[in-house]
Amino acid sequence: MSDSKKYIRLSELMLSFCDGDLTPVEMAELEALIGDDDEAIEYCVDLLMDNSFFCQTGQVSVPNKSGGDSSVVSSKIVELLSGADEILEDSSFDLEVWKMLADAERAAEGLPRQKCSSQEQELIRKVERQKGNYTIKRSSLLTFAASIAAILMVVIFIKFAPPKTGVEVATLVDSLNAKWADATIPVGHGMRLRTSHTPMFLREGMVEVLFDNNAQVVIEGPAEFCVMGDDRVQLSYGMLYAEVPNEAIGFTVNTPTVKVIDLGTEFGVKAGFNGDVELHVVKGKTTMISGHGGQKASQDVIANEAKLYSAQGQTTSDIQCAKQQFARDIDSTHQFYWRGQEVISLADMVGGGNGFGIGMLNAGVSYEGQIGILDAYSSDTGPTEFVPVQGSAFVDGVFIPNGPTQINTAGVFYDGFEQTNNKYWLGVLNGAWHQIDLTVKVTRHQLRLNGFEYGTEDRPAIYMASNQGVTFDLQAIRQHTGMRIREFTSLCGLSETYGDHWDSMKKYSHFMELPKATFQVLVDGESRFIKKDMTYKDPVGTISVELTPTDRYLTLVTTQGSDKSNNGDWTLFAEPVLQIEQK
Amino acid sequence: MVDKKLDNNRATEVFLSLLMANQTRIRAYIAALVPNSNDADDIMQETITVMWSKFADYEVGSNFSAWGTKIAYYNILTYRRKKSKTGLHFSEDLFERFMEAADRKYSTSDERLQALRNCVKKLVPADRKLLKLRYDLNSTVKHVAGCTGEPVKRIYRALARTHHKLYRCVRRTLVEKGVI
Repeated sequence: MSDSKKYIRLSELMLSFCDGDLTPVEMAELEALIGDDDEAIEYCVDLLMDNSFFCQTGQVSVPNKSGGDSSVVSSKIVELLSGADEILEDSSFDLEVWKMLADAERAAEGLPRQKCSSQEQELIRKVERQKGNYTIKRSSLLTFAASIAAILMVVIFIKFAPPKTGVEVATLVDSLNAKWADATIPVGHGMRLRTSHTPMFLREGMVEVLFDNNAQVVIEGPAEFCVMGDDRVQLSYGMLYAEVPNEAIGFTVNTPTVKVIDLGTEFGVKAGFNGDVELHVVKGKTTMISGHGGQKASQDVIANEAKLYSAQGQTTSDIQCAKQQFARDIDSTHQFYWRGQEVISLADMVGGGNGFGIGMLNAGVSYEGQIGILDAYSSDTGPTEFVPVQGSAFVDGVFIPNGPTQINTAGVFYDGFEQTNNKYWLGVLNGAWHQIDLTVKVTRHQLRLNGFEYGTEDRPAIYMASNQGVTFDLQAIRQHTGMRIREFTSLCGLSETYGDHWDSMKKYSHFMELPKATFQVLVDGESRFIKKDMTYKDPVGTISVELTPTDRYLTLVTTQGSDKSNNGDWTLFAEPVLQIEQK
Repeated sequence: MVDKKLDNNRATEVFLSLLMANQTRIRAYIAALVPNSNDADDIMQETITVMWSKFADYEVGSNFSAWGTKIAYYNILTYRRKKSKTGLHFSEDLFERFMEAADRKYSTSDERLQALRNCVKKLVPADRKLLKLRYDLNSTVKHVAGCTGEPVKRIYRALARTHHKLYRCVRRTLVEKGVI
């Protein structure tokens, strides 16, 4: 191996070591590469020192003399990369960086790996970083601040120059889990944004910016952007969703390679670091201008269309419009963001989620009022009272329908239920599996309607073997999401798999060949859907219940049918969702 | 010895002044022996805390960074003992060789830093941008890789090549100036 190649490989391994990314095998390779070569040691030490100069922030904590909190003295010891800001503003360098990477990789010869002996391998330890716990002792720095200010001014270096004075054109109205590259720059709700060429670096999370012309953008990190004008945003990389009202037509999003001009619309822009840009138009129409200089091309992109501009090939192609890729709305108060989903899954809520997929599959509500994994499949006599649910803002509670029964925490009773045996199976489940392991044996399996298995991520369901009821708080859902709830839709039925297992059950007299069960949907105690005495051989029921902004509680109920038995009532609501829309 | 008649404020002023002037050398020494940046930061902070607690023992006018690196050395040994069973670290033999080199080199850190600053300016913009992404924006290599869609290894390789260019430039500069 030539010296250059060896040292580059050493650099690579040492830098990885610095970041905590070095693997044990690479550690062995590093030691083998160094071997007896003292110059390699010198090289590594120089590299480590250089790396420390780049990493060094100059923040030191000096103990407080009175024993109180220490004081953090912040100074930027070195600014090695001054003058690089203008580089980031020059969009053409984005391509150069990645061309450099690609060309270097293609041209570079392979760096031979040193083989490690088995003994060296045995010396390897797993990396585990342990944080020290440093207590700051001693006395205070109460009065030193003024006297050392002069010293500190010499060495203080401000990494980000104050933004150039510009015109205030927008307001940062909300943020969700936002982390900025420079944590020392305060960026908070209500902050006015000025036109500036100084980019803002959002490392992660989302921010919502409202322009004075009422154009609204949501930017999702990692992203680099700056507000160029009262109707212009520069997006160097990251994701941005713009909602532009009529009075703001002409709003423009610039990326290093593409310009998008709004013509009265909603659209999302995803700008890759390599210069590739995706434009997804959700509503209305935009004009997309791509390329540079004399190679520019312009085209209109309308609702439900999407384009991909490839920087390397300087070509534009059609892609699928991914309407739910971009965060369109955020609400930090409720820790909620909306990507344009059109439904809220009640099955997900039963599993402890917020309706957008974070609930646990095969979790559900027990009659202790808790949400957790349900796996004890047995028949139980249920409580006679309504059981409020803890730990979910959206699931109001559960109950066993049996004659007049309280069905929500507001104390509303519904007296239209038939008398039942007050028994239930399992609990109200986000899922759809069944099993019996008593004298009757039925192996665990997914329940099925219309030939499709339910209780999966793709086909969610609420399995509530009769007799059970669950109530959802629509008001809480509206408050959390900020959405309007149009309608509740679902399929309902008894699982076809009962027929598959009938042979193993028919010798037991308490099972019927065609068990019957009733499905019902109530809104604020008023019955809005009922299908009585369904069997597993009946066609699947289709539920569609319109909802108004004043409807508060939605209740789903399964009860034993006219056969007066809940044995074999493998009853499920399949794909139970709330259809939503923006207010 | 530091004049015991110095009031606390004055002692603080003196300490901070000396620290600011020597921090780079002490940090460079620690970095040479503790490659993991996060651990090096912790040791640096611990070293400063010990230095401050023992400042009354410091001989004013003597070599502050030599005193500081001696304290750092013991902190590093403690760190190595703690990490001996749980971390990736150099063998004893290799560590001693690194230590000898660090002892020789840390005192010229200021000159090295100045040379590095000038050499960074000579890099092509693409190299400077890569360094800025990694260091100036506090982005980890994994984060840069995530943003770019490039493999982590490729980012490290690119950084390594850039650092190698800087190494050659800095070395040339220090030789010309007679520092090494």
